[in-house]
Amino acid sequence: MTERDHFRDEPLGAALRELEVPEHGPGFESELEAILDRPRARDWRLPLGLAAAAAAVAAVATLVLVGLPGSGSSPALAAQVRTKVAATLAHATSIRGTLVYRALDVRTHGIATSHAVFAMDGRGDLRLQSVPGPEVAVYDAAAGVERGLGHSAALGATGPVFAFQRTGIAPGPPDEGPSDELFLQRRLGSALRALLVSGKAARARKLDFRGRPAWQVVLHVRPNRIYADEDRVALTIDRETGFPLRVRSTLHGAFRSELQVRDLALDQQLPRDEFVLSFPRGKTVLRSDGGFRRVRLGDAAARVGYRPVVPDTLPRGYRLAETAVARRGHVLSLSYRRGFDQLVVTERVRGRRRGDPFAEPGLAVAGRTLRIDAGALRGATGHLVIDARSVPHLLVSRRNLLVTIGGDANEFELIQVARSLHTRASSLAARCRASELRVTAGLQGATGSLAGGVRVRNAGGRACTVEGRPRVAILSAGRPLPLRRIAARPDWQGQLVPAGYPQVVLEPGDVADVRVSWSNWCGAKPRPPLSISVVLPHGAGRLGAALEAGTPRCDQRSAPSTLAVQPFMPEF
Amino acid sequence: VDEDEFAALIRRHDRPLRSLAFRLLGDRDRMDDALQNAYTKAFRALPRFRGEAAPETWLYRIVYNACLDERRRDRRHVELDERLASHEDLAGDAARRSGLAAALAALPPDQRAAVLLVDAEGFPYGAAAEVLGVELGTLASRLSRARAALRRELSAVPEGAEHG
Repeated sequence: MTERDHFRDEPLGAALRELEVPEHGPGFESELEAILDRPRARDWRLPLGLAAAAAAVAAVATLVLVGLPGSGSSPALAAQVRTKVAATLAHATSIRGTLVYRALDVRTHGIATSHAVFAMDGRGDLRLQSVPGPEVAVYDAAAGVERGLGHSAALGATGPVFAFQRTGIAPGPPDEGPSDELFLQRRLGSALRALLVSGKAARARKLDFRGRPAWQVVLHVRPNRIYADEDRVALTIDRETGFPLRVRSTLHGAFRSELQVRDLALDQQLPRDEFVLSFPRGKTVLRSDGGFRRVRLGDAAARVGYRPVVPDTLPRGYRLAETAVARRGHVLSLSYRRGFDQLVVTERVRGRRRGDPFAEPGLAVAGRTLRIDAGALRGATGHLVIDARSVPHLLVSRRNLLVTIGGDANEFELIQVARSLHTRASSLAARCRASELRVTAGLQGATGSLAGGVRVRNAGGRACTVEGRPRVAILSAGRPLPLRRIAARPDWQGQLVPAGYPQVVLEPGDVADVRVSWSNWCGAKPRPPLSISVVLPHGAGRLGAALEAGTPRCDQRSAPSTLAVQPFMPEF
Repeated sequence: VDEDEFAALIRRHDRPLRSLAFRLLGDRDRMDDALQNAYTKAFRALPRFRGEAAPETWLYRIVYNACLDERRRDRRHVELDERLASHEDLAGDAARRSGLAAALAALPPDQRAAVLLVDAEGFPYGAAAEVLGVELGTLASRLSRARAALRRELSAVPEGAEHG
């Protein structure tokens, strides 16, 4: 071979090196570590580039609590801080303000400062707009759509502004949410939650910050093992509102970053169009799709292809906000909100990758295993992670499915949610109470038996669930007829059994039927009026309705009259 | 190579190895699967590594073979390659890069690996041939074919000198 044969095409090589290369997926390193069984303390984490500014900001707020040494600080005061912050997060309805973010540029060693205004509401909607612009992003949580204007990451800040729209965004972790979730919702929220639920000794002191009475809590953190981000975080919290005013991080005593929240306004009415963004006419819009679709809970099972588990029990104040499914991975994601708090329960088909989907590169978190002792997951082994560098979460495998429970909840709450999981649509759609239902009934037939049914309609304002076989009686002038009840199997009459059966989810206005067949009445003609009594399963109450019916034919005088009752079924 | 040197080796080469695996396999999950297998295999083979080759050559060879195994295991690669080829990017340079990515994805895997190792990562021909497990002449011919195809997509890149 000659020297010429060993030619290297530099321009081509440079172009090839510019091609995008994905980072490792979540959990890659933890899985690798598990396989190799290396001690976690060893530093051999893989090198990843610094994430975007938002991620850096987010990292600022992931904390490990330890006591604050020094005079003037107090654990009792820290408890007050926790109480105040918890109340703020759980009850806030809206927030707006200005973010000032200063960060060390590790390449130039200069300090870069950026400004943005933001707004967020209790539904999870978000607006973040750079000052002076032009970058802006708005997120509609209920629709799972993010729209924005921004610069191309490839072309730099001086390039043209492009419009983008991301649809099908997941409701929350462990699936990727909107761009700014990293900062405002997921990470900062979870960091504050970590502060609240850590149970470790924390100390706080009072101070004035920009003219406002405040508390400061100093926390020592484990740096990211891929790129050391910080080892000390000072969190300044507004005493009036309980919301953070500043998060300042240092590494080995040197400044790394600081996030300030200014012009803070909590729980004020936001303009109706706060989370709406219209694109300039003619603007080309880059569109992408995260694959999640908002659905009704009752439709979820059919979309994911299995009967999902849902919780009966939730921490106080949480309400179901979003139900979404993703075809890829057969994911069901249920998002519950409480003020700015979010708790997400997901289920998915386990892929070949078996790591913790919450894991993030460079952040080894502490977890422990436990046995679920109740509910649909009874007997399964769970993996619980309460670590301030992660969203608090619990993972449980169910056959080939993985259930995740993660968000703003403490250890006890996560376990209680896991214990309450059932393969039925309760809780979010809690069992229908008799007071929510209206019932009608009718029986008819010309030959032999009388057939018909009981129909219940959800007259309430929320979805609820009926399941199983109610106890049905026919009353004559208010007294039950002597009927022998027969538990009949559901007759689908050739129709497909709906996914999710035997639960029947009733959105407001929906109906469910109980098929009834009355046979062999050889007694005296019942005294009018006839009525029907329906006792709901699970102690959910009793319903009654007038019954338009005659009596069935007497086929065998020595045999009892029978009433065959099928379980609740969706309306045919 | 001890464990610390191995960790440093991984740190130093993880990005180009990700690039190689991603370009050969076409999606991140498969890239991670292959790299996880390869890193594990390499780590466990440490006690048997006697320095017959440079450590990076040894590591790249393990990764390359893991990628080939992954391709054999999952015959969906044709579909994935097509997806890569249709990948959209933003504008300008990005569009040019997208065209290059598509052209790269259209190459046979051995040509892809050759051009990535030599032109992108600067491997000497001998080391690249060792990684790919081929003779020098085979490597050169793969390189030549790969470059010709890629240059058609990369009009800004001048013709190379090896064709004289």
